[in-house]
Amino acid sequence: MATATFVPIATQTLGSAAASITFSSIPGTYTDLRLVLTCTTSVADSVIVQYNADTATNYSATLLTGSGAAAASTSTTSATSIRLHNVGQTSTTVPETFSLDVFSYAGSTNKTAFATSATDTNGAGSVELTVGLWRSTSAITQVTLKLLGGNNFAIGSIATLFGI
Amino acid sequence: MPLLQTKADASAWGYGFLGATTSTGNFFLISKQVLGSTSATVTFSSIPNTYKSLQIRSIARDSGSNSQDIGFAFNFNSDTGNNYTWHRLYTSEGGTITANAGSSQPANYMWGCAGGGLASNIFSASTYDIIDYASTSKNKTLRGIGGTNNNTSSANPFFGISSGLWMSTSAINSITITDYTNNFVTGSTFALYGVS
Repeated sequence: MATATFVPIATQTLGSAAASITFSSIPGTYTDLRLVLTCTTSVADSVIVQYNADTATNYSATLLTGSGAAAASTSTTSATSIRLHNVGQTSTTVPETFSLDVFSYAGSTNKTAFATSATDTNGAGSVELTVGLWRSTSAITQVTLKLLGGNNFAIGSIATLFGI
Repeated sequence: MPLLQTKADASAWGYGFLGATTSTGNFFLISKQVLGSTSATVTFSSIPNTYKSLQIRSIARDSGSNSQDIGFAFNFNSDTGNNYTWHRLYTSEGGTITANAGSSQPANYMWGCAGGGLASNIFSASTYDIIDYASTSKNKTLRGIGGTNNNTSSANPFFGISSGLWMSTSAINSITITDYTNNFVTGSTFALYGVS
């Protein structure tokens, strides 16, 4: 049998509202990372991600969104984070689901990741695909999720980081 | 930050979000190829039929001068007949959304590979899933998500989702991935996983 992989590194379940969810001291022993998030938030907002506490303008993204009858595309350049929402937003009541795949996170190339997200609130919602770039050749040792508007993730939001 | 739970054994939950087979701890590395020199193709052969699904994960860049190659041509079991069909939905960094398809093709043409015209050291990222690959009674469907970003608002590169059909009921025992127009460069990485 081949080598088993897809290992849960850590899970965080919020016991109180928090402005960020951070996974730190990530070992460099895997090929890829996957971060899975299901969350509600204090105010409808957009989820963003940063690596290694880098808040400089080293991020960019392309987003493909379906929200009802129309498809939309947008991009961000030289941003301070990878934005995972375009027209879609989190809900205060309905959990939204994300998965973020970070490829060759410990390698020496710039870091490309993509995310899928889904939310539906019985009359509104969206599905989105996002590809994001972090222009750094540093190994990723920390991943931080935040909300673009500075709001809080609600109690019960769950994030799990896997190594693949 | 308050934590109520750490290190949950949640592998099934994580993999299941992309719609594939779920079972805790049942994601296995079959083979990983890191290119030490440029190559037009990558082949996984002698794939065991003991899993329920396969997933290929890659970072790749090609040797061409464009910002984006169409990407990856998938062939199964060395079949290069016109037994493949595909659909793609993708967007450019500049905001143009495109959908297209091909039928009776000699390969599944899937997004997407970073081109050599991109800024240095940028590779595309992709995953490809094949459910029930070992079936001897069903045609085989391939689903891919992939592409890259180059910190521009240009007409390319692209990012999107692809599907492919191989019109064969044979169990898949080899997968050949060919760069559509050029060669994969050194450092391109392809890993094949089995999900049981």
